[in-house]
Amino acid sequence: MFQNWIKQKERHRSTSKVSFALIFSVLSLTLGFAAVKAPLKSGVQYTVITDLPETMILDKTYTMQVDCENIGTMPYEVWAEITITGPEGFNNRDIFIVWTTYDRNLNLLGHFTLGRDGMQEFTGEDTITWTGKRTLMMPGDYRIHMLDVTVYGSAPLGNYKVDVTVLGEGKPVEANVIITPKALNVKSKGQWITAKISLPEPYKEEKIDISSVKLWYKDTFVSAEWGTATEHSLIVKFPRTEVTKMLRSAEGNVQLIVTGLVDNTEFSGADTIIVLTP
Amino acid sequence: MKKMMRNKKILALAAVLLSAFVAIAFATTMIMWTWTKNINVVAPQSAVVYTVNQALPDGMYQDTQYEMIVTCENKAPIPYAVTAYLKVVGPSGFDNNDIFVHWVVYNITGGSVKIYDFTIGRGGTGMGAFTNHDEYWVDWTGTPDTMNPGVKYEHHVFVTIYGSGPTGTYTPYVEVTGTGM
Repeated sequence: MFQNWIKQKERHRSTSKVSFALIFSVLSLTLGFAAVKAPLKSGVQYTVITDLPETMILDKTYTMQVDCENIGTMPYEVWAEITITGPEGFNNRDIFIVWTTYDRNLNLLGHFTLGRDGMQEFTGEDTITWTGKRTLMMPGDYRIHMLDVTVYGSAPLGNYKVDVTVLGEGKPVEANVIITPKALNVKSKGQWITAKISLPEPYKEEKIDISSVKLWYKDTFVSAEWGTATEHSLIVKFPRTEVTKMLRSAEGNVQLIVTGLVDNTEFSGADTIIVLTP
Repeated sequence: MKKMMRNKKILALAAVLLSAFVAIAFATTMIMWTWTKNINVVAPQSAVVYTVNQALPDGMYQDTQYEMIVTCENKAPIPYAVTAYLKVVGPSGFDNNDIFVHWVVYNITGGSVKIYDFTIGRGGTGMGAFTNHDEYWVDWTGTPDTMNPGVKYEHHVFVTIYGSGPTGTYTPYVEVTGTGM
């Protein structure tokens, strides 16, 4: 008679069908820093190792793993922006993310929480956003991001749209560059244009790959033909005829940029000379 | 001549400034990776889990008290507001005067503390009476109670069908609704 005495269930605000879309793209980078030419090789590659499911149950934790690697020669300062659009009433109290970052050897690099009672929080109502802190990824750096995502039972049911954007700025090693002669008469005779390159610690000038050193004017460059390291600098020489040819349209104050690789990491520095066309 | 030289210098300076501006414009933030996903968020089967430890018998005598024991635990990571709803469908003529429920709740999280003790039905106190419907079924809705994560309750529900109640088949129904807070 009383066999159906307990039949409990929990009601929630709404249900809806699933729709799924995944856009995954890695954009190769060709331009980065002011006064920096195209890096020799660039790109921070992101790979989703473990994806979030198309359907998530409230109060259950799902893990997403995204690996990224700076496969180029340019150091990059990167940061993430997350935007989540949910049903009406969705806000920071409805979500909790534990974000842990490791290196390729699974050494812990960072850990923080985001959302309700988290160390950081989303802002907004219905559509919530968060912007992460900037971190520097050096060439060869590999990071494993583990995100434990929980949508709390306080959240409205239905369709959510999650957008993650990683932004970046190229940050080459800033070199101090002195180019001589300071006044270049394009008609005068001479064999070399010289650049003295100094790097900040911990980089060593003797580790500069001389064959990678280039002198840039706008989008054209001349490669270094000779170089020698001194105690705190590297002297490189560029063939004067090629440089004057590169500067044939230039006159007056001209900014020249020197780029190259040190320990497989891009450096860049600029100096201004006066181009004379008598 | 001097004026021409000055104009040339101004033009050269303008060119340098323009090239610097272009370079700075290229330094603006780049999108390195984007990821978009649509996710359907659904309700859990149960955030607060209920277990019947002792059920009512299939056959009950009038004027005899029977005990039912139910435990529940909030296994969700956030508090839930839970509300009980009771409905009993009986033979024709059954109403609130024919039933008496004595409900005692203990918080058994790390001990045993009585937190609720009330009665429903004929002579019920505190939580009052069942509502009569169409002379053969009654229902009652409790007040919301907040259960924090990890909290366990033990419900002792003592049920008596009075001698005034019609004999026959009764169908009780219990529903607990929960809202994450």
